[in-house]
Amino acid sequence: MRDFTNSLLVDLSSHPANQPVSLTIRGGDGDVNYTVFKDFTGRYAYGNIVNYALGHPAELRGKSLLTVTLVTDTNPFTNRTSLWFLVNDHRFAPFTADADADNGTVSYSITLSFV
Amino acid sequence: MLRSSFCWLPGLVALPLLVNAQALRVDDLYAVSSPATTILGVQPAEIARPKSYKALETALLTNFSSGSSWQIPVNYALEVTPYWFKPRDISVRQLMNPTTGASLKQSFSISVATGRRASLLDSTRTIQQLGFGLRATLFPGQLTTAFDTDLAALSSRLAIIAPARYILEAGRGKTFANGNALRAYLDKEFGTVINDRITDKAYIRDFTQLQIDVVESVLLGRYPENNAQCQLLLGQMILKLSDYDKTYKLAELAKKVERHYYFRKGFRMDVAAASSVEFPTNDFDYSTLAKYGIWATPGGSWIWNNVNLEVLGLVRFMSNQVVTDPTRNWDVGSRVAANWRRLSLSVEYIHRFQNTTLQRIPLPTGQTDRLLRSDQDYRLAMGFEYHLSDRFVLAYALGRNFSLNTEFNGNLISILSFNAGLSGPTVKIAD
Repeated sequence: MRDFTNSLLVDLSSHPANQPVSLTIRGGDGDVNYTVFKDFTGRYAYGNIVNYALGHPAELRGKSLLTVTLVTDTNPFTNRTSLWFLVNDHRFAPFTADADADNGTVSYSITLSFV
Repeated sequence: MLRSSFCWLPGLVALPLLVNAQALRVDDLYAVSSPATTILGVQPAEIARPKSYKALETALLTNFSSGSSWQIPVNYALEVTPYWFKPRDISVRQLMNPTTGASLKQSFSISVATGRRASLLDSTRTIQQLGFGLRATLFPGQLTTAFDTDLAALSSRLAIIAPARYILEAGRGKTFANGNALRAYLDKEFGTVINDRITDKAYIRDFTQLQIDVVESVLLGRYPENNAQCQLLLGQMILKLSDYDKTYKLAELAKKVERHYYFRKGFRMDVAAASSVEFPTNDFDYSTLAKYGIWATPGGSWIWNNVNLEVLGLVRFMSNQVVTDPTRNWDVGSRVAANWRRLSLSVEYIHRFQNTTLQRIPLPTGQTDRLLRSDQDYRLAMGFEYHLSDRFVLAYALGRNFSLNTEFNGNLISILSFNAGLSGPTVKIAD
């Protein structure tokens, strides 16, 4: 299993103050993925993370959120894996890492920092 | 004569149908071929299929450069799928169950191959050939119900490892006064995950076993007295967990999911086009167009009594300028294959409608009239493949090739080959 660690700065300045911030985490490149994180209420979120409400911008600013996603290569055309983050409608550039071998797994540890 | 020579073929093809196999995979048939190799009529031992820009760069530099100049390697084959050179926001279901448009984009490949043939005028001289090809899957067929089962099997294993990984990673950002504090943290977090799945007994069993294997085995007999020692133990646990993909055989489960890209039911169709150039004087600056063609291979596969039956049709147009009298050929045929475990048997028949240009007559108007002859020809061959391992295939083909106006001497097909799919997808043998 290959490890990949990085961080993502999420700027909430243009986000409407009265709307909750939602998070989507997707494994790309036709691979199988599974995500785990602990939200700001202390509750675990598992599996496919789609439009997960994290809280209002004022509650999130200055905080960070650790996410762990395992992505297993199931694509016959490429061993590259990718991880895509969407905060509300904004899609960030993906994190990418090659699996060690065909059908290998990459463990992504990404820390989101909200400003 | 021919009829008597091949009268035993149906019996041989039917042989595996009589055997009660336990498992079967259609992609055992995954061919060591590409449009570029097909147009050249060569059977390379390996087709390089680089899976990233870096791998493509390496393949090109290794095989096409010679010091500061470029060279054409001999008997080399390369196939790339450009769509996947960039990261794509595509889920496994979108990959495996594409629309026709998505399938075309995702499967579109470009192939290059090189070969040599003997000159028709002077058999002691060889001519270098270079083939280019394009291929795409127009209709990919449908997923079988086993896809959901295989996907669930892999996801369920990831669902056990991922929370443990999260707990250990999150622990690295904390400060522990001593071993008791570390244990209290781990017990609390592992307990929370178990509580979240309190109704899933199988999950709790496996997750608890993982906790014993990864956490308790490291903590046993250790009494860390400060945060640094606790972090050291957390690091050891993460290392152990990284190896848990082997315990759960994640790669094998992932391979089962991946195979569904090829192992499908119902109608499917690939389309391909290719052309080749030759270098009669082996000089890069002087080349001639040798062949070009376009073809479609509609077909389908069915499982019967644990034997996979695959029927592929072929409709092909091919122009051949290599021969003394240039030909235009329409080929129509079919290939029937039966696959059982490591063994594959196939029979192929292709009927050819050929127009040969015997003479070009310039007309006073400036146009050219051609004197044509129409012929019919056929190819009949049977193939045998035995998968020695996931990647190595022993293959033998026997039969009668096209005989009218070809660049080959004689029409006997008798090819024994040993193929290594080192750069392509592996074929898992179902024992």
